[in-house]
Amino acid sequence: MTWTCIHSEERLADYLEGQLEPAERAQMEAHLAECAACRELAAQVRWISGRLPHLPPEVVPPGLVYRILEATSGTVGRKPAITWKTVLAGLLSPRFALGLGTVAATVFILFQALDINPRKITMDNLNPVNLYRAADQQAHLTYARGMRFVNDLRVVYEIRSRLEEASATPAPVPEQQTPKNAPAPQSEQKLKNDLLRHGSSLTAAITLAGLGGGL
Amino acid sequence: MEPDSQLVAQCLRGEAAAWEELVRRHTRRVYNLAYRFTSNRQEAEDLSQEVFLRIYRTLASYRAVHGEFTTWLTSVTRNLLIDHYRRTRRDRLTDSIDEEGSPAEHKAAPGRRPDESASASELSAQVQHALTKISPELREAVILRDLQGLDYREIQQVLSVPEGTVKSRINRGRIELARLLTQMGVTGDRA
Ligand SMILES: [Zn+2]
Repeated sequence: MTWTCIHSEERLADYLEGQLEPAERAQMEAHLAECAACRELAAQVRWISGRLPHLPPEVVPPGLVYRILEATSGTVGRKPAITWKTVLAGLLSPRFALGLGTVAATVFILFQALDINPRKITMDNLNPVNLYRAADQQAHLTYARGMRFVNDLRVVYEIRSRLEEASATPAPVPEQQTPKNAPAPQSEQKLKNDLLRHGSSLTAAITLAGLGGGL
Repeated sequence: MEPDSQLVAQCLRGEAAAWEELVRRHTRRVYNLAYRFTSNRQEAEDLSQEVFLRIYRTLASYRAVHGEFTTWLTSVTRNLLIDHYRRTRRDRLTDSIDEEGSPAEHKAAPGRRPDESASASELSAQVQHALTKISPELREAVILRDLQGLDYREIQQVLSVPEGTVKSRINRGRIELARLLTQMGVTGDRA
């Protein structure tokens, strides 16, 4: 195999670091002896590789460390623990409440439309002919009732969301001087408020459901 | 001096002072890597903040058994640099009239001065200019090996490529850098 400039380039780092096998090393040196371009390249690479590790590091801009610390004050690397509180808070989130309400409403509409008493579902109720007839009779009335119920729920949801946005945005987070892993002191109070608020919206939903049923 | 892994454990117990120490200890490394890669001080600063924010959020996932803290830190930095590179590629192509990076910084390589420190910072600026001209794969390999002093095994971990690839990228990166510097008239045999 003839040793070309390409081989010299490929093996240059190993050659300069003394990592070549004796046979390759001999071929490399023979090539360098007769090829000025490779000789110059090798000298330049040797020179710059020697200088690079000793180049002065860039000066870190003043205040960068401080800005990093400021951006990272709070709970370090911890995911919030899953407790009954967080689960409950999740269940009571407005989105979930609306979802739950909508499902309940759908079932309610369906049963109303089909004139089925949920406590006494019989095979007769599920006969397609009876289903169709019952549905046709009840459809208009029940659809209107059901829609009102869902719309009411949506109003509750929107009010809830607005309230949350309002309580989230204006209060600027005070600079946390103690970047400890304290589990945010406001969470306890917030949860109570949430429970109260959600409690009332759920009550409203249940009342509406009751009204819908009574109509 | 406590080892990094101990500081990490202290951070996870909520000791703010340990986190501060980690940040102070490693900001220079992260900032330098970001600056060498981007050639832009503002971007390097923003990226450094992003790196530490990510480290901060994922600190619990660091395990000393997976390697040195600095290797992990370097991996996070490198991944953010590559994301940043891809994100900004289009902008760079559209302002290709300008030189890459900040031109003012590259032209800050005035006449030679006899003392060694002046010539080192001059060379540093010239190297920086040459680095912007080589592909990001070769650039990062040379920066990690020759400017950050990582060994082959660490670079292999950071880049997630086999050792042979690491070696060949470093070799080609040095060769391209050497050629560019020669074209710029920056050679080892000047005064
Ligand atoms: Zn040759």
